[in-house]
Amino acid sequence: MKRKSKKSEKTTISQASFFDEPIKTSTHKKEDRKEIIKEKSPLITPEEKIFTVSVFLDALNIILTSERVSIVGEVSECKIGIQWVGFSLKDKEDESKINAFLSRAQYNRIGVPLEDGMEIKMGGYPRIYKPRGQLSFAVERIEPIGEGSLKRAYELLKKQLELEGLFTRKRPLPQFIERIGIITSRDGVVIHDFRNNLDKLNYKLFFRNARVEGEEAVANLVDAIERFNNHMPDLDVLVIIRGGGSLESLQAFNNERVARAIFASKIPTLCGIGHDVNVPIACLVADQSVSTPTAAAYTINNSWESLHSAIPLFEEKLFNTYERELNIIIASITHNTRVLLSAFSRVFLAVEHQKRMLTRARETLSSTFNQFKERTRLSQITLMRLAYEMINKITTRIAHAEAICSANNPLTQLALGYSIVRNEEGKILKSARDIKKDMHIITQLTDGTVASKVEKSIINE
Amino acid sequence: MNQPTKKINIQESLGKLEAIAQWFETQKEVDVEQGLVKVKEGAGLIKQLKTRLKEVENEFEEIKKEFDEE
Repeated sequence: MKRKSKKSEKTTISQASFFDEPIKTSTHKKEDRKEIIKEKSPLITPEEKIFTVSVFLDALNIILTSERVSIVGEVSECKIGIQWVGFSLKDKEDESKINAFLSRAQYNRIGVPLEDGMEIKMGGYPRIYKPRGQLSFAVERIEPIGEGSLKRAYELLKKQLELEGLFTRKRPLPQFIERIGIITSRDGVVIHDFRNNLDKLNYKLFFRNARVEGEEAVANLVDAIERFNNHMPDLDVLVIIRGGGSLESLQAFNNERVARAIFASKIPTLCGIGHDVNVPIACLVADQSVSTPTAAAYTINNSWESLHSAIPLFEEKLFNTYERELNIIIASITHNTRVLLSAFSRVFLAVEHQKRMLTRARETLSSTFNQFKERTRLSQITLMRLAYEMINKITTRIAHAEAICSANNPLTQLALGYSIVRNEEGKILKSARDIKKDMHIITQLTDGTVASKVEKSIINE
Repeated sequence: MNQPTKKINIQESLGKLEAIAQWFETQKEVDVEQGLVKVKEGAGLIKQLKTRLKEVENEFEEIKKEFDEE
């Protein structure tokens, strides 16, 4: 029964594809694997055992795949297919060579382009390809070796990604960056340089540690980029930074997987990777790239530059414009006030003049009136005096007239013996010629009258 | 943790300031009362933006646990 169960397991292995086997094998528990090796390996079991070819090869493969090794050599006969990638790795010294295979998916995951003549270090495990009974090598890692290979790998990838258009999409970094995802190594000065050169603008920094060199670098970088995108898609920018280094030490940043992860990032990317001649492919793919972590910090600070410069500009625009307008208004008010004051003062002057004129007129009038009054008073006195004089004169005249009258009063004469003769009508008769015979005459005497009849009138000759 | 509103405010404030500046530019004769209202509003926005540019320590957080916990 036990054997049967082993057989069924063996059958499973043999049915699986060549490239899948190592993965399946590796899923065995270590203990199980040891047991199988012990059971099947002709090298371990001393007693003679007979195997079928398939079982024997399986047994060999179990031994071969238990150890991971690295082999250095030159790539030749490189074939990159849709499903599989195959090549021979030749020894540089002699003609020794080993066939190597890996799935296209794995090739893409590794992210290092292969080309004939390239010197590489490949990691993986040897195994026998059962349909052909050939020894081959299942590749898990590829690293170009030597400046030439590194450069070639770099050039190949650069060309390929350029053709795909990965270098042309450049999204602008947002203005006023606040939330920053940082991917770099926890060790070393890079992270400190970056942080120290950021302005103190209340940035929210989220740091994810990643190896930036060595075997784990690619996986770490890709993982960090993907995780930031999945967990914190609202970050303003993803900063990938590393200090300067040789082409060899910067391999992770010239890796296709890393390049594609950067390209796939929904968060805008900023790469700050120190380099010499060849700009790391990560930088070429990133939305923006600078050559140092410090410069990356400055780039982020600069995202606030427009605000720094806008504020004084707006202050100038707003306040100065308004002040200018106010000044115009104030000037106009001042001008109008002056005009009004001038007009008023003219009115005041006119009023003042009129007032003076009135005062003068009043004074003149008053003086005239006084003069008139004085004159009137004087006239009165004169008049009075004249009247008195007149009255006196008249009085004197009257007295004189009275005296004359008194002296000439006929009645007085009558007393002296004179008489007045009148006719019957009362007319005084002065001539004898007026008196005729038989005329009745009346003679007035001092104490009475006598009526007589004329006898005769005698006229003196 | 999430502060996108703050960012919108900066953009918005700048937009409002721009609008005010343009208002002043397009007025042939600035109405003193209206101008004063605009200047007051602008001064408030400028003050707000200046405050954002004041020195405030950055916050640093190493993301490790919460990512690995998934």
